[in-house]
Amino acid sequence: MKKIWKIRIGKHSLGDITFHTVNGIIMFFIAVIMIYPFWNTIAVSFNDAQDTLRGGITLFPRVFSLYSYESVFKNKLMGTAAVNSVLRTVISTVLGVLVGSMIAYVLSRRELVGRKFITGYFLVTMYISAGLIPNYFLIKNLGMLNSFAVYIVPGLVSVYNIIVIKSFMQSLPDSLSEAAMVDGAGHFRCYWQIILPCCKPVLATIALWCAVGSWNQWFDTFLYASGADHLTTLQYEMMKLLSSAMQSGRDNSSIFGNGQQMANTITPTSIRAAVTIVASVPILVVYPFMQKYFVKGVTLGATKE
Amino acid sequence: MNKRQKTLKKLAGQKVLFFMIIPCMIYTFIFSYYPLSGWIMAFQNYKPAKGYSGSTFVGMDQFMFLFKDVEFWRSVRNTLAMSLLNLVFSFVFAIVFALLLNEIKSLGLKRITQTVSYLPHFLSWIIVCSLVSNMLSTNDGMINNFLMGIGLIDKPVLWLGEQKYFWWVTTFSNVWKETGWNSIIYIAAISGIDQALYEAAELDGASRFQKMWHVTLPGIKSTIVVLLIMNLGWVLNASFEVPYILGSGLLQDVSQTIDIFVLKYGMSIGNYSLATAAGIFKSVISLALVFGTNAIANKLGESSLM
Amino acid sequence: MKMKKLCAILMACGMVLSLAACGGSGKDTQPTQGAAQNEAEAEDTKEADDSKDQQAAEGAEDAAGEEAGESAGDAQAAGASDENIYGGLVPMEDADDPITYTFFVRDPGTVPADNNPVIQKITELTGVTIKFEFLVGDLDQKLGVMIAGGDYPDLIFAGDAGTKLRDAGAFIPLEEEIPKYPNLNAMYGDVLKYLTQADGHVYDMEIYGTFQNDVTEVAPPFECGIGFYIQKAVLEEAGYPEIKTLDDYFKIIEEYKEKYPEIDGVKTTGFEILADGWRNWALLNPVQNLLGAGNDGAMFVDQNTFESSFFQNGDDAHAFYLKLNEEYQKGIIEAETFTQNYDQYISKITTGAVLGFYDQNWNFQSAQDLLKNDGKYERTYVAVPIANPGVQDAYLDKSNGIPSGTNGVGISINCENPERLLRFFDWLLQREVQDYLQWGEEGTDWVRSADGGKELTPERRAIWYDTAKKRDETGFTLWNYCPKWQGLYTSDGMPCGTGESPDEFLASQSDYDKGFLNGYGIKYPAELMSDPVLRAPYYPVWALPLEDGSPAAVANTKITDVTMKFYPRLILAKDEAEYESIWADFLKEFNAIDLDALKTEIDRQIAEKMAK
Repeated sequence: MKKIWKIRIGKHSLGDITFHTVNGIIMFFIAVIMIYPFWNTIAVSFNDAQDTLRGGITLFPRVFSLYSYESVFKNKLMGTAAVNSVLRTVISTVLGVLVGSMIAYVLSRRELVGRKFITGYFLVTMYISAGLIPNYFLIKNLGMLNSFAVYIVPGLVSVYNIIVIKSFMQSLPDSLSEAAMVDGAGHFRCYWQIILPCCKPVLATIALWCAVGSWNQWFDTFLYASGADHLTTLQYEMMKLLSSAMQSGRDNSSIFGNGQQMANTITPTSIRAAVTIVASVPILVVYPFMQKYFVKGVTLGATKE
Repeated sequence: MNKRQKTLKKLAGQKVLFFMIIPCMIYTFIFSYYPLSGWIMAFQNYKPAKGYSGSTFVGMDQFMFLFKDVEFWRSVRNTLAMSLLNLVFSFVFAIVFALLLNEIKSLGLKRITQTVSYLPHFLSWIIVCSLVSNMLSTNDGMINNFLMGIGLIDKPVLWLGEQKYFWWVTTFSNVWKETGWNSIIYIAAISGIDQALYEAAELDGASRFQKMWHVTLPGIKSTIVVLLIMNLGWVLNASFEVPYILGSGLLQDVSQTIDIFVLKYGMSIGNYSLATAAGIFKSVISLALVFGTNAIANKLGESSLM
Repeated sequence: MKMKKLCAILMACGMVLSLAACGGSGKDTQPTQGAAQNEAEAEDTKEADDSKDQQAAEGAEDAAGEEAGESAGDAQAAGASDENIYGGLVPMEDADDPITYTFFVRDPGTVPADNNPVIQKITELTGVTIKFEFLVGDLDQKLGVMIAGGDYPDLIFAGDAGTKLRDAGAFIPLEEEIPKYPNLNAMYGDVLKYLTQADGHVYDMEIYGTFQNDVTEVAPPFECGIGFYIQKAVLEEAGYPEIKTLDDYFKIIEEYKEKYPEIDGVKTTGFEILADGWRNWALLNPVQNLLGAGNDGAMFVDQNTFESSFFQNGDDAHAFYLKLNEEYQKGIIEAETFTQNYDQYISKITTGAVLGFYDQNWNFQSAQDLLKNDGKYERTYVAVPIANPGVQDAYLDKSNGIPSGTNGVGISINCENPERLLRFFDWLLQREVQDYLQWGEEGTDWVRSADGGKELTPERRAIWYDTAKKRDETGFTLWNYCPKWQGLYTSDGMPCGTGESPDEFLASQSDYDKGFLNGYGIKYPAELMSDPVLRAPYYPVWALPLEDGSPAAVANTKITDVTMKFYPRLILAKDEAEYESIWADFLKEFNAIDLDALKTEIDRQIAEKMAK
């Protein structure tokens, strides 16, 4: 039995070929199943809102309409919102990765005095939360209400990310940093020049998490910056639009009308679909960019130089 | 004496490390520990209008309200059940997916599959749940049609009307939405494995599955363990939206989670204190779980958080 | 509390369209709309909020305002028209001194476009700009931090959550101010006692359909806003019978379903019960209507003794759910009705194959619009007056004109120039301004109908029924959230708004509808119901505020929880024995709730309001 799998066709064994075929088929089905919700959302976003109420939209729009997108894009704050969203995402991601990896580096050093305590000190914060009102007071007392800083500062340290980076760093061979330290490099150089470059795959992941997290955030705008139009973000504008659609989708329905004048209707379902697409496509493009850091394996020897 | 000198010397040698970490500790104190003074409201009948100083103290009343209610304990059970199912399945699916993906030879197919798989993460639960609900419908729903088509059932099953299915529905909704996203970290971890190890294994004549088992899995084991422990701490927080959106009166006994309970009896009727008390309860359990499992992992010689 | 809000909305909504406000039911509002903790939740929340609000908005739009102190108002209006420019609009004296007020509204919504011609003109005439901030996310969270931090805008419309702001001392007292302004006084002067809080001050000005004044009166209802709806085709087929009881109602549905097992190729559904989150009134509320109550709330109130009681666990409830169980056994009700979400419910109705349901008008309006769009007028719905035998239905109500205390606009302590703001509100209440905001200009936007009433021009109607255009091209938003006249002007019977205009209503009826109404020999669908009931001053129970986190509030939530859990099981019981055993379990859980806490609190508040 076993022998059969060893039969070679060209340079591949039969086992290999079977495996790749089966695996390829499985992956294809997974891809189909996974793409369906997003595809469906796109179809709904391009379908006439009123027609969508009938249900049954699956792969393609039934009555094509761009009205949902029109409603999204005629918002005059869209430009400001997009700029703010991009800015906060870029800054949060860069700082998040830097600060996170720095703390992770320190915590990964076995010789650190009080390492257990310090790690625990950070760890605990993942599982405690003061709640809405105390946090609001904090932000207010720090003078960050209605300022751009509120998008960056409170989320700067993510313990989850730190632990993930730290555990990655700890899996690197000790010889890496030892060699550097023997050469006389300080901790900072060791962190920056030796360890960080080896952590590319995990840093790419963390960057993705930071970026997506920051991009998707609307709650901080809602709580801390809703009074300032110039600080609005894309997600917040989308939330506004959506909530407004939920309200007006119904009150525009002509109670007395005979239904004829309902051409330009918006409904929560349609707006939600359009908003989802508009708000997620910009961040989706980040991923393929990050992908190159982990499709290929790292060869540790090479980074040592 | 000697010892102290040693410690001092050690500290001096680590001043760069402390220089790097102390500002972060101060920051964490300000943003995470200092606001905890707000926990005082769990022991009050807090009114935003009166502030901490003006609100009346009620001792443990808020906690008692929770602990005395059968519904609350039922919510705890439901939360734990759904979270644990979810934890197990999302880990298994994400890891297996990452492993299989890693085996794909064609770079294009690999990239496409990977990119496509994380798309559902960007949809809100409202969208995903409404698709789930349509697929499970007895009225021409895809799942019922399929099962009837292959003859497994002879009349549509009311998937969302029977308590015994509900936890599985939430679990697989989660798997559907988050597997791709969750697998990213494993894909990253796999690509961090030293290629030399594979080469060595190949020289030893290891088969594909042996390589997976003896090289890849051990290579990502520490990541798995660390994530597992951290996520275990959140078992009481998880599963809010899906049960909230897909649940109904018929399912209340299995779908109400702690967060839904707190929403109904806390925030919705303006009781911030109750929400805070529930938060404290969850924090205590979470910390016990995390530090407990961490200690166990340590004992077993596994990689751990600290 | 939230429930109240919802109810409020429902109620307002009910009123809307001058469809007489039939009361939604009371218990309905499940507090589901709580804190938005994350996006999805928030969305959901919003949805809940919106709908409430929307109802409120509609209510506002159409609700018939009621009487008001005409003298002052009219006098001023008359005086104004003497020196008018801009067709009746007189500028305020400090119009050249611009001022901006910030205004937080508890409804989700969109700010009118900067170039809205009506609002621009108002600003030009008054110097006042109102900067709206609509709700995004969860109201409780928003107000929680607003109050904790004391960061109030100048003006706040918080609906029933206004209690929190009043308790926090967020508003300035108005009882001394209102009498100084003739139009405001005409509107609120007679009802100040109902607006007065326990501390003796008045903090807000009710903006939806509530005022006892001599300026306006209630408009007649055209359609019923809540009740047991049935497809017009079913009534037509049965020869336009009088349907008064549940038995009559289900009988013709059964017969129709028997005869037409499919409609347009879709399997016929007899009766739908929507029970999705906070949209739970179809499951929880009908019993109080069968008992002859309006949309009171979680309690039934005896209209003679004004004592409250619970209807959820009584014989009437037992009989009602047993009847539904019987219909389930017959296949008229399907089990899936309890698992479907709102979207699925709507899409099912749009097929035209659903024969009946209990609902509130606004909730299925979108489906009905689609049916009209498809020309299936016979598949649209009308409410019928179902009550227990021997009980007179009371779905329609005639507003008592007493502020509910749940829809007030307040001026915050942070407002720097409240005097000018009140003057602005007073100015807005001139009839010319009100007409300008809602109807627009005569000739271009509206015309006199043959019998002397008012009708929109087709162009204006297209704007008015398009949300975005209505917001960006008319004065609707400003009108909606400021003190306003509603109903019919007593002096000449003219409608304050389009929703109160019979001509506007009749102008939009299809030929089928005219034939249908003819079949019954009535002019408006609402005439199928008994005459609107003038409600007692306490009405409705759902508008009575329950203190945050109090035992009464907890009991209220529990009632919703327990009934939501057991009623579907009762309806789906296999046989009568199972029904009885579930009923026994239900009683056990229901009676374990601290019902007294709620009843005592409600009775106390009813007595207090009745004494005023």
